Amino acid sequence: MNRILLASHGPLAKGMKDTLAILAGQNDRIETLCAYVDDQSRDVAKMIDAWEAGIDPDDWWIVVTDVFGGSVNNEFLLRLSEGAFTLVAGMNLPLLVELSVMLDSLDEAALDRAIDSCRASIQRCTPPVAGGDDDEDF
Amino acid sequence: MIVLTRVDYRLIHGQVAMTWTRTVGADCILVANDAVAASDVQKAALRMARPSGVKLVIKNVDDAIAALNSGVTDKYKLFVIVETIADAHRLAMSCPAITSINLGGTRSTDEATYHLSTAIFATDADLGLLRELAEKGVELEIRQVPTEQKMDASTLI
Repeated sequence: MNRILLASHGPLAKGMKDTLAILAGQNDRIETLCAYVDDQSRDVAKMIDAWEAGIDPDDWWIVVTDVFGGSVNNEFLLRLSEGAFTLVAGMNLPLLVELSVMLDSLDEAALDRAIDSCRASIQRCTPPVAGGDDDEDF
Repeated sequence: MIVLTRVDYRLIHGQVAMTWTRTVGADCILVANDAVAASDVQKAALRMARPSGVKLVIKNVDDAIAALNSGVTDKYKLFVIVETIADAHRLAMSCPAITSINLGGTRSTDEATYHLSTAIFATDADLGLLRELAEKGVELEIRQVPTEQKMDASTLI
């Protein structure tokens, strides 16, 4: 089964999961790892080891971290060659909505397409201009 | 073919653009709303919220009824969005193709004293319209997002 682990510095992963539930519904196949939120979460390596020890090898885990180059992503990166999970850095809401909606059918190619399309969703917004587009009809 | 008819006062927003459109596999969204169809700025704002790869048509409710009944929409996997229960009633009473209505969200106002679910607020008049739709055999299901269980509104009115 496909599963997602959201991992972050601080409570972003938990907050992202809560926000995601508003847009795409609750999903118990999405879990979170929040580092540096209390004394028990300062050792990221230990937290990841504990998570890895509990995963089912039949599941495909996609780990999504908050930032490439951060300590959380770095710790996952060190374990990446073991092949237990796929790692994506740069957590954002459009990406996670996309992944959540198609979680059952997700594969490597679909993951790459989702990453590409979420990149385009980051944009400087301009005010709506009346009549800027031709009205579409059937 | 209509793949979903939804009542949502926010029209196109996160749940609709990102989740529903994808889940129902829509290739065209019809927003049926008198105020939006008459406002170039509101139309422009909705166009910006349009999910990529999906056609967006905005019509007033009467024109939407005419289009749905003319057959021009048959070739699309059409996702119809209205703002209010009253607009959904207008549409469904005139369009036999609408056999089910998803109640996604209605505005919380002082008059909407009936709280059917987390996101569905209804006035006395709304309840009467929903009863008429239920009697006509139209499915009335409450869901904010597709993964939720359908809640049958006809049992709540």
